[in-house]
Amino acid sequence: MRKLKSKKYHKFRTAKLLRKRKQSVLKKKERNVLRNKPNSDRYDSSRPIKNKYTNRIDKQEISVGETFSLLKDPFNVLKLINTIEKRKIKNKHITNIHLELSHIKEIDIGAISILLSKVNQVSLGSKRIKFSGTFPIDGTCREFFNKSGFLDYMADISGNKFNKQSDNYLVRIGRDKTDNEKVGVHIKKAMKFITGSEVHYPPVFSVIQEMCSNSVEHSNKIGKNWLLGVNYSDAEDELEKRVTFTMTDMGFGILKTLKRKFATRIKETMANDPEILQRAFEKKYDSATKEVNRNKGLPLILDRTEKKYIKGLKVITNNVFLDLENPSLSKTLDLNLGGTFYCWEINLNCIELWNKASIN
Amino acid sequence: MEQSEHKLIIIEYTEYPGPRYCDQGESSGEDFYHTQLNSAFLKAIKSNYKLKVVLDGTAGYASSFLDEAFGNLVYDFTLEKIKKHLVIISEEEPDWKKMITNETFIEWEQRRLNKKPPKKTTLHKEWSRFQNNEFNSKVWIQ
Repeated sequence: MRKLKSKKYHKFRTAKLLRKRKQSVLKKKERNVLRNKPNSDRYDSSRPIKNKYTNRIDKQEISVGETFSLLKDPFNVLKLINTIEKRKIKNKHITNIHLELSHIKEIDIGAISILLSKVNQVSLGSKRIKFSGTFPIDGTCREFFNKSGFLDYMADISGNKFNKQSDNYLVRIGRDKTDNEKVGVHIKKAMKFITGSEVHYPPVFSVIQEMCSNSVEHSNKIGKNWLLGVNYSDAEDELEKRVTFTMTDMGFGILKTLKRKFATRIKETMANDPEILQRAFEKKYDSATKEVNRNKGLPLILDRTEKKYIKGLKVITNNVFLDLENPSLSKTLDLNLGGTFYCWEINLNCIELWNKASIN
Repeated sequence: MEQSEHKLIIIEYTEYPGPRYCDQGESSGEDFYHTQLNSAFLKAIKSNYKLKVVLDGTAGYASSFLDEAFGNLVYDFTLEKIKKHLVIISEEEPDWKKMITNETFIEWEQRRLNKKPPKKTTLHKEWSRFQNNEFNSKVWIQ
């Protein structure tokens, strides 16, 4: 004869079964996450680590794939940035984000700049979140990473600052103000590297000041930070020597702060985002401040590019990759960058063109 | 013979000109106007000579620095007075002179006629303005 169980027993049993089911679903999710290989196209291996005493997720491990290059593969870099942002928002108890960089086989200064900018933004916003990570195993990438200047803002496990690896690569962080003198000094050093003379180069100073001013004025109100990178590429031939500059800020991005009149928006319904961004550089729209005397900064940047005083200027902002030198290579990205990234370079040819124009 | 008091050389103020406003960074256009340009221009008008402002020699400029400095000059003294008593010298970058003359002067004159005052991001000492056919000095905007 079947024994009759009380209502209380059934309630207890149902609750127990539900708990077991929930745990099994969570474990399955964790296994699926671990299964994602770091070198696949969807590298997104972010592994939550629970504190065994509180049972809360307080550490997040994020693995970067083999290609960590903003200019060659912006998707993977933007995915990392968005993953950091998502984990920060989703897990309110998180105290550590661990960046697994050991699998990287290709790297550039753009990716490092954006990563440092994001790390700085998160750290400014919340003092409880610390970042840790591993170095790339690949020798070339490790050397590039060590010399990039990223480690100037980090410490080792014992809490000691890293020794400055090189004067070649310099990365400078600013906050809610411009840093005119330091920018000017770095430009003079870049000129000395290319020409042998420590002199001013006004086109680059102007371009950086415009970008800085835009960042300081228009980016997010809290936790403003901009980052200037200077990367030296040596060569035996003087003509091959070049200096690459990067400028990064984690704000709203140019497209989000653009002021387009209603009639213009209707007229441009068929225009894609790269075209709209290109037009912003061509002064087709009003300033975000609505003042009649504004909106000269982006056109100045385009002007210096067209005159070839700077070369290879690329812009990544919101969901757009814009190549100002070759607009046909501009494209819409699948992911969004909350902020703006500029990258350009100068060489002896640019400087000679500028000197010729100044004399005439 | 040119006298030194006829010239205002920006590199003597700063080698590294900054952004538009004082709260955005050092050596801003707003600061340059209030500490140097306003008083130098008033002196030029009262002594009836042309003030030469030399842009050459610095590390370079953001357009906002020049727009704010020269724009405030138009707002406080009118475009008519500027055309009579101001000369801009920019041999290294002639485009700046073109921008100031063809854009800044016209846009700020429009602002002056529309009574749209400039923004001040810090408390300045008294500065001069030409209003109702006379020159007065006070803290016009706070």
